[in-house]
Amino acid sequence: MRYRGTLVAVQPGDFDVFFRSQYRSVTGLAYVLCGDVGRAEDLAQEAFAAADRSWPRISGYDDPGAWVRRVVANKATSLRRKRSSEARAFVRLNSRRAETETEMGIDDAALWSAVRALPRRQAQVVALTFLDGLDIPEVARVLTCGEATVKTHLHRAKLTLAARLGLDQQQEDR
Amino acid sequence: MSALDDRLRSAADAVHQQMEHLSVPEPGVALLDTAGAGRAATGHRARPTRALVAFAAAVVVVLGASAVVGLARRGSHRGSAFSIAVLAATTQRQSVRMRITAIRPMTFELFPATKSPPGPPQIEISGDTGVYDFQRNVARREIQGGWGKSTELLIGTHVYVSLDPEIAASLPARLRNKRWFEMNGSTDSFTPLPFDPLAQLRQDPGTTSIQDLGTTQIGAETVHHYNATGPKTRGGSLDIYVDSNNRLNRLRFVLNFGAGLDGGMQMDFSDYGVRVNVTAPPADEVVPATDLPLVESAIANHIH
Repeated sequence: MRYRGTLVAVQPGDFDVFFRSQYRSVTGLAYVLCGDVGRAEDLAQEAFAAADRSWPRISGYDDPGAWVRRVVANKATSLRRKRSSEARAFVRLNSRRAETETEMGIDDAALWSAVRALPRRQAQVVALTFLDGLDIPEVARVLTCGEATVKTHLHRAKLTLAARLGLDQQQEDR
Repeated sequence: MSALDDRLRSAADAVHQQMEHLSVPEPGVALLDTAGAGRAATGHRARPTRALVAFAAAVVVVLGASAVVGLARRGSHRGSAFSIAVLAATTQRQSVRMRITAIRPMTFELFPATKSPPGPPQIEISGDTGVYDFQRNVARREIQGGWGKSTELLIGTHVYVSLDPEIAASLPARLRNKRWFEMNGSTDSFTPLPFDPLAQLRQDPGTTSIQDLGTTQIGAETVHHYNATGPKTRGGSLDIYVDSNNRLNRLRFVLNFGAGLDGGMQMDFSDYGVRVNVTAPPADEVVPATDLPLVESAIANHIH
């Protein structure tokens, strides 16, 4: 089932409800952006723990889910950058990652791998759009940027992905 | 609908399906199972961690303040479990009374930076009692050790430590009326440590295998008991007792570090919501920061 309508207001004190309703989707977001389930769980849990620590403040936001997603999206892509620059060899040899990709199927693994290879913001926009099913204004809210920026990132990301995956993006855009 | 969109949606569905198999840890208490159950459900091995080491560092911080800077640094590891972090955070939403008792004597190095012979003095710590208000950031604790007893006060960013009258008597005449010194980080040895005993648990809880042992009684309270087993080489074991409001009631751990660092500790939490009144000592009773090195050597001489 697609995860939609995640960006809901919660009442102060509803951390448990918030956590239970969002944990899987936030972990999924971290997963496609960092490529490792175990690491994704860690990232999600760290973000929720941070939200819990400041829950009186964060629960007052229009959108606590956006806050957690922003934290996770940024951390997951920072991790990816760090890994790619410092630990390429390790990532290639990392058996957990290999397991993960086997589990999810080679085609999907290649697709997410291509998403992760996109520039950071583009990868975040794609993940939030397709994984969380967010629309342009919602993605803009999560990433605290303008809607036009989101559109541009999404457009560029799709062009790159289509080229890498051998799909015809001209047709896509019509 | 484009082919690429279809591919992305279908790949997203596959991820969602995969996430459906993920155990959602219960916030608070049940999050204790995160490491074992969560990873098992997704087919990944729980990674070996150093939770207990981190925990030891946290407790050590509670006990020794400046005395244990060296050990706390040694125990500063990165961990990841949310579970204990959330528990610690829940605990700290209210003020609380905390009693810490050493299960076995714990020996620490005081002033680990000391280079001159005979080296850093060793002290033994048997426990402390304190009241903590983490929202207002005020606390008072009495530390009981081989050298006697000392009081520490936290008021905002200020940490005051009581000065033993016998030690004060060995100071230059102008300082003999002082009863307190302030840990302000102006010297290597008196690096103020976080006064917050659960800080490390919140930030650095680590993961380990955790067993649910059901409910038990501590005093009048019915509490839930969990046991965490750490890496075998450390020989560590952590018992966690949680009350019906998902707050810590008791933490008990035994550690085997070897090299004089063996020890065990029990932390009892009570009087949630207790009123914590702490006022700063009169300024003329506090050793000026510039004289801290004198205090340091007086304490070291007293202990050696």
